Amino acid sequence: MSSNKKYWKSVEELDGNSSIVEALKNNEFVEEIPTDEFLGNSDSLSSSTTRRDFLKYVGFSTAAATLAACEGPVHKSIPYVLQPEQIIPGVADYYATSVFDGFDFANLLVKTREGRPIKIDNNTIAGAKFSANARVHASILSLYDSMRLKEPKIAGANASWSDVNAKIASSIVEAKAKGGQVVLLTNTLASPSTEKLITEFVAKNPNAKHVVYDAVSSSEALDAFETVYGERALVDYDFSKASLIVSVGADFLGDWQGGGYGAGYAQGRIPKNGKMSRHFQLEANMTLSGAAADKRLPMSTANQKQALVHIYNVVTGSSVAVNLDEQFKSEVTKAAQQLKAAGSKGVLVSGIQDKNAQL
Amino acid sequence: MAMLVVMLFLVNSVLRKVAKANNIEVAPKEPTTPIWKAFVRNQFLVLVTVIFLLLSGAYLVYGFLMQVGVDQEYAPIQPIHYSHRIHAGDNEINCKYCHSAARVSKNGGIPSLNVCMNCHKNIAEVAETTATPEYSKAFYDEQIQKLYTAVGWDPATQSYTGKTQPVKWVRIHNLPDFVYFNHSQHVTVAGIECQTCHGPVQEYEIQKQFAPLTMGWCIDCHRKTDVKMEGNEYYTKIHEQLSKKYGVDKLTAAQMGGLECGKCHY
Repeated sequence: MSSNKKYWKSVEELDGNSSIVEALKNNEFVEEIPTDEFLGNSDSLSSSTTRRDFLKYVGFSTAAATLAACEGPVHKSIPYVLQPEQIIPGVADYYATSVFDGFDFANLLVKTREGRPIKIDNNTIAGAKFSANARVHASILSLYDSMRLKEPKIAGANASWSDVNAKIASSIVEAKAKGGQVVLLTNTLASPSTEKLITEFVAKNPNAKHVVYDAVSSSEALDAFETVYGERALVDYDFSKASLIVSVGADFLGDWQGGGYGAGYAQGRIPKNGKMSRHFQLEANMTLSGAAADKRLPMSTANQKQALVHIYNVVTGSSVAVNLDEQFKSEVTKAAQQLKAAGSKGVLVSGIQDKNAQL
Repeated sequence: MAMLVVMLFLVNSVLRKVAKANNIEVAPKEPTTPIWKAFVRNQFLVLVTVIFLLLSGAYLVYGFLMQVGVDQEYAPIQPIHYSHRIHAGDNEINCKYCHSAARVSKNGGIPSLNVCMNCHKNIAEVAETTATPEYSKAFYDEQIQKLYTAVGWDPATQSYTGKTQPVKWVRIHNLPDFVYFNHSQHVTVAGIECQTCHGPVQEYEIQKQFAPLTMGWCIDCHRKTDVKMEGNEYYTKIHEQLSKKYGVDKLTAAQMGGLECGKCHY
């Protein structure tokens, strides 16, 4: 192809009989360049090229200066003026504590060096059964979060504790006089002593109310529990004791109702004497629990509710109107029958945020 | 020697004068080749010189490179002129009284100022006999005043003012970050005397680095020194098991696997 192409060097070639094209074939430029003048002038040829020398000198002196200025850094070592007895530089101190951020609770040992926490570990003494999940381990970084609230705020503006205390006291008195309501808004509390304080507060101020609001709420499960047992609590499951687990929409290996069930579940799945737990999962979206299940039935939430009713029928032998899709019926029946057989070793957990379902 | 040269020169000039006076021809000196041209023409000489320059250059460069990062004899000026000679030497204070971290921690530890005040709460000036021709009593007293300023101690009222100013000591012994060295292992378990690595500190007026602290120096000692097994709870179990297996009673840290890279560079 290359032989067929003609390369154009200038616009003049368009013109058929241009004189410039001829000139260009022999010389680079159209005009005459006075090269003889330049080359013949010996003065201009023998220039001392001072620029080159300048660069040489500059380069050399820079290198020399750099080399001469190269020296080891001076390290300072500044000990305490009054060293606390427990702090020895180089030896780590461990503090037992717990963490609750409104969602995860764990008993921890925090490793600190010279007062600065550097690692979160589980506290393994007897009675500390809440272990840290990945979020809690990562929360070591939130201890160094510069955006954490450092002081209380009144209407969005920073205020000191003394100001806040004074204002609260005066506001409560004001509200009592006006007959208004005082609301203490918190998330779910983990500490019994805080709860006791709040009960005392509410008792002392009859117009005060404690409202608990969570970003991620389990209130349906709490309501259901309250209906059955009278107090608000969540059931804690020990999956290692279960021989049959039927989960209807409950991702219990994830963060369902507080998380932490993974360890017990894993224990139950170790084959012992030829037995290990069997796991049915009925769920709408894909979860880890579904991936780990022996039998997974994907079904929509509406179907899940119907499945629950069906299971209820089979387990208790009663018959309530059921509207379950045919494809699932046989599987759910099997699950329900096994549940019945398992008796006290069967666990039925549901993640549907519906009081009726939880019931 | 110089006298001889001068004498010869004088004799030469006298003889020339005599010859001139007697009209005797003295053959003038012939122009000889300048010495550097002769040098360049002599190939053997050039070769030898080049080799000599290369070898000496290599020696100097190697010497320079090998002492990069080695701070032996580093004796910086400290913010307070603290004399180990007075404290560890004359007063015979135990190293581990002040540098207590060395017993339990990987750092040796520069003592915090409350340790100094343990004694200096009552010692506001030095004795007449402590002063040397080089450093006067007034000089040492001034250093104690510097301590009081740092700690916030008012000698007049014998109380702490609460205004403290920590002392910024210049650190002398510093290993690079990729090395792990644990003082407590050497001090408490092995029971090595501080002076072995840090030199005769009790004689130093100004603290300096005694040892090169290079890896070669560490390895050298580990190859020569026997591990202290007897009476050492740290090694009881392993000594029982391994001495039967290998039949040796004395061994160096090197033989015990102490030279594994990962032990210090992890």
